[in-house]
Amino acid sequence: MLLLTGVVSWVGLHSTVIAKSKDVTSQETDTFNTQCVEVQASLNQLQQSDTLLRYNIGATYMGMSEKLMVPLNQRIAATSYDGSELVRITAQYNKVYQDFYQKYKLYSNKLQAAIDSDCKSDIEQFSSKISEARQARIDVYGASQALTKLLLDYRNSIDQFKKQIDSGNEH
Amino acid sequence: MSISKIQLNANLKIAILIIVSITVVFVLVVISMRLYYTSGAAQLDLSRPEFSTVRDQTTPQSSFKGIDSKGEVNQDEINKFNKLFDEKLKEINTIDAFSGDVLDPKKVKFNNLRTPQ
Repeated sequence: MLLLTGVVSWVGLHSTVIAKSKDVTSQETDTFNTQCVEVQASLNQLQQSDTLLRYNIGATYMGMSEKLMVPLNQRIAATSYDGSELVRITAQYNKVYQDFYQKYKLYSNKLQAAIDSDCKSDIEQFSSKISEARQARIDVYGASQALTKLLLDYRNSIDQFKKQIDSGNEH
Repeated sequence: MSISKIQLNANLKIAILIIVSITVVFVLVVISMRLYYTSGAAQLDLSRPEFSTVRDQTTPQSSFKGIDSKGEVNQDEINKFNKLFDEKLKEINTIDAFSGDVLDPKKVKFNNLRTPQ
């Protein structure tokens, strides 16, 4: 009788433990799923804001070349002033812009891959995709900084060029 | 050749024409879509459905004032150029595009993700 009571108690306790374990696991799973959804939402939001940023800043970068630098270089070319440094910087700027363009394209693809991967089924892969997108975004920032630096170089060269005009130093 | 054979030939030719046309269209669509994705156009296409919320936030291109490629090169013109250039440069510096490590796992709250045990 005592043995039977013990067995029944143990079975009851074991069942309770199992039931409690199942509750904890499902709670953890729910939390994990919620966090996955939140991270996915963050990535979607980032994709939208970065695409808009790229569109606007890209137009500005192109405008600096097409509407300011190139027309000025053309004006100078029609004179006898030496605008070779300005032309050199403009050519370099256009080259770096292409690099920026390609790097953004790569970043965009990496981010899309992260968004498309399933966080719930394979978290390692999801993590890896985000890391790749992160590095690609850092590269885009690097290219953006390079463009800004070249714009500053051009601006400084304009100041040097003004001295030519001041001195009336046509070639 | 009997009339039914002529009819059959004509029908066959029409069928072949339709099949070839559809095949050519299909091939051209595949090539176009490939170009769309590889050229970088897809990454900047705000007409895609997922970008509907940000579509109206683009900066109009007409707002960018430039200079004419024909004109004088003197102090006044250079000063006008500098004013336009500095304005846009200030804008670029203010925006500081793609700065900030926003995909840092801690910022994405990714660090808190743990696979249930």
